[in-house]
Order: sequence, then C-alpha cells, then structure tokens
Amino acid sequence: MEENRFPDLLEAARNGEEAAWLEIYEELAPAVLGYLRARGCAEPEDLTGEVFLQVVRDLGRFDGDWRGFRAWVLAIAHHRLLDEGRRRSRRPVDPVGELPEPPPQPAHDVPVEAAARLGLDRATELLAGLSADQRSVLLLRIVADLSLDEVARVLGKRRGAVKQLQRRGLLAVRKRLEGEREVPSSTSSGLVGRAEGQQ
Amino acid sequence: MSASDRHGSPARNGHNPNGNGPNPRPTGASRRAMRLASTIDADAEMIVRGEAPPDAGPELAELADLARELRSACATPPPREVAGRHIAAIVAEAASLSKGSAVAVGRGRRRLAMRLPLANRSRARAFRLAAAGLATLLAVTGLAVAGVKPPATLDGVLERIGIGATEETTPPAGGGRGAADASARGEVPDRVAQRAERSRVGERTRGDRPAAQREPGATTSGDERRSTTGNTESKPGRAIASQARGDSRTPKSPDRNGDHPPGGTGQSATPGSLGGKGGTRPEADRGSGGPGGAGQQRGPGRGVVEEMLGNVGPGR
Repeated sequence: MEENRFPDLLEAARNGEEAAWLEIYEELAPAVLGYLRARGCAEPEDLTGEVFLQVVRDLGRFDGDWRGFRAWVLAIAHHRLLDEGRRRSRRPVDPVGELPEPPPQPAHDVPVEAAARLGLDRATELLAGLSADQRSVLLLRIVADLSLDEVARVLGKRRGAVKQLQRRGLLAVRKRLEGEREVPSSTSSGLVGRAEGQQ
Repeated sequence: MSASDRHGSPARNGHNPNGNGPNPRPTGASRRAMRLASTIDADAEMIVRGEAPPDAGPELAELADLARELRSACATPPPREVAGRHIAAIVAEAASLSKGSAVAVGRGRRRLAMRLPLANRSRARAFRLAAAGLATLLAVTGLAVAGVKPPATLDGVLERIGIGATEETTPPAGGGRGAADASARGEVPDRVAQRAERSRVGERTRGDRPAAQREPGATTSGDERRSTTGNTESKPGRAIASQARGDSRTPKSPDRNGDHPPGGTGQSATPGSLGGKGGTRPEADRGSGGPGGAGQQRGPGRGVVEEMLGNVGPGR
C-alpha cells in the first residue's frame, strides 16, 4: 500500500465503495487472520469477519496514515481476541461427541495450504512455551509487521516493556530450538524443508 | 568458548574458591546467553523481519529463519469462500452506514449503550437512579428551606399519612393568628369560621372564671411557651388537659424554666389563651406567634380543649 494513496482509499471506504473495502480486506486480512490463528483462537475466520465489521463501524473515528490504520485494525483484532477469551472462560463450550463429515471442498492450493498448516502447527508449538504477552509481541512484530511503538500502542504498554518482552520471547524460542536440535527424532532443519518433504 | 572459559579458575567456572557456596559471577554458558541477548537487542529488527544479521552466528540466523517461516505460515489469506462472505458482509454494513449516516448519528447513543458491558450498563443505571433520588431530595430540601408551602391538596395528603408541614410564616403581632395560620395552611374560610365559633362557645361555657380559681401552674398558657420556644410539648396545655381528665397531679409550671416571654403573662389567663391540645395540637399551630400578643390569639386548636373544659364545668 502506497502511503499517498491511503487518504483517497480511506475516503472511498467511508463512502461505502466496495472496491475500497476489497482492497483494505486483501491488504490486512492475512495479518489479522494469521495473528488470530497463531494466538490460538478457536474460530479465527469468524473472528476476522467480526474484526472487519467493527472496522467498518468505527472507521469514522479513525484519523491517521496507513501504518496507523494497520496498527488500529490489529488493535481491534487483539481486543476482540481478549473478549473472546473472556467469553469462553465464562461459558466454556462442551465438546460434541460426533460431528457429521463436512462436504468435500474443491481442492485448490493444496501444497501451499499444507505447508501453511504445517508451519502453523510448528509455530504454535514453538510459541506455546511463551507467556501471552511475549506471544502477542512476537506475532505482532513478525506476522503483522508492526514496529515497537505500534505494538506498544496495540497492547497498551510502554515501548521499553515491549522491547523487553520481545527479547525474552526470542530467547525462549531460541532455547526451544536448541532443545529440539538435541532430540534426535526431530532431524528436519526447518519448516520449509518439512513442508517440501510432505509434498 | 574461549580457553579461559574452558580452563579458567574455579571462580570462573561458577565455584567459589573459598568454598562458601556458589559464586555469583556468571559461568561461560550464562555469559554466552547474555551476549546473545545483547545481540538480539541490537539485531532484533532484522531478526523479526526474517533477515539474518551479517555477522551473526548460527543461533541468530536460525532465529531469523524461524521468523521468516512463521511469517509465511501465519500470514496466509483466508480461503476464497470465507473471504467472499466477509467482503459481502463488510460492503453491506458499509452501505447501510453510509446510507443512513444521519440515522447512525441518532443511534449513536443506543449503539454505545449496546457496546457497554453488562456490568457497566447496570452500574450506569444505578448511578442514574441515585442521581435522580439525590436531585429530588435536594429539590424538596431547597423548597423547605425557602419556606414554600406545598399545595393544599398535597398538604391534605401529607396530613392524612401523618406528615405535618412545619409552619414557617410569622403572623403579624396581635390578634388574628388563627386566621393567619389557617390561611397559611390553605384552609377554607368556612372551617376557620367554624373554629372561631367553637372557641367563642368554649368561652361562653367556661364563663368568666377568675384567674385565682385556676391551678397555679395553669396561669401561663401553652401559647406563651409557643411564642418563644415553639415547643411542641406544651406543659400548661397538658396541665389543663389533665385537669379536664380529672387528674389530681399538679403539673409543672413553665415559670420554673424562667422562659416567660415578655408581654404575654397578663392576658394569658384569659380562657381563650388556655390553650391548645398540648402535644396533640396540629403542627401548623406550633412554633409560631410573636412575643407581643400570644395571649390574645385564638388558635384553631384551642376549641377541643375548651370543649373538654366546658364538659368538666365552669365551677370546678
């Protein structure tokens, strides 16, 4: 997204133009969905839709550039995720015994999806040992591509605190990687190699 | 690991040479971790972007690889059918908002209330109730302080449930207090006339009884005490009431208190000033009256006691 185009895009979105919303969705939906998935959201796609509906409703109150808009959307996603976590803790969902099989979906981009699925599983496994704040910081930095200041704004923390969380999170991930290397069974070198091996 | 780390002194290997427990100085492994942490701080921007720093060791390069893989794994677009559904909902919502922007402004408060959590909503409701109660209390208190009488209908209702309004208006000195009180209470003139007639009947019934025949404590009337203190318990009134009941006890005189009002004693012995029902007198009669003419006043509450006195008989 070019910075100089953003004011026109924002104005068009405020006027309800479909093309503007399509562009915004295509730019930001992967980051939002990836963040929600990696944070362990139960229904990340539904929550992504709710996040964008909230963006539509609150767009009149936004004022800023493209980077600020990106951080604002991710902040909405983060707060929605926290709300969902609270709601689930209040009303836990009972697992259903047997579900009917879903109808077969048309196969498209199977290798990419498989690789993504595998990578996501591994990422979730690596991030599982981190605290929630460390996970949020790393995912917002890596997946959503936000700066330290933007992450601090999204999480409502100071920049120094975010920097500290990032450092500790990276060190913890590094430690887990070392532990994986010592286990002889996990011989594959990385996500891409494993995904290629699956194909 | 350097040679000094491998073959260093015991202190460097984490053992205190004095043998007094572990040495706080870092070991080789912890120093390596500290160095890694400082390098991560310096190169974090590159690592989170998935780029290995130029002179980084294999540890940081591996972290950068992981970040790159994490980015490619997580930031995948939603499936097409899901994206289509989302886009349709977004466009519909945006169209409805842009179409009814004026309506949306009007609905802003309701939508804001819907967004509030339930606990906040109930708290806001309780706060609104408390504010309304406080405003009502302040308004009533302000009216009472300002001396505003409630309307006659409300006054009647309040009297019926046992709440009497305190009389704040000061009648003119001299006679006519009963009428003034009555008009202040909003009573109709017919009722005032009936009470005045009853008072006159009481005077006629009791006759011109000399003051000397009465009890010593009864020489001062409840009106006199009312004229200065506004006391609701009129002792002389009680004395006369007890006389009317045939009580042999001698009531206390208010003179003992030394609070005789000026200018009220001489005429207080008149039958018309005997009065009142003491503690049972209506609230509107209490606490009023100037010091100059209490004895001549004919309050509306006197009629009952005078009738009782009339029943006892004038020649008692």
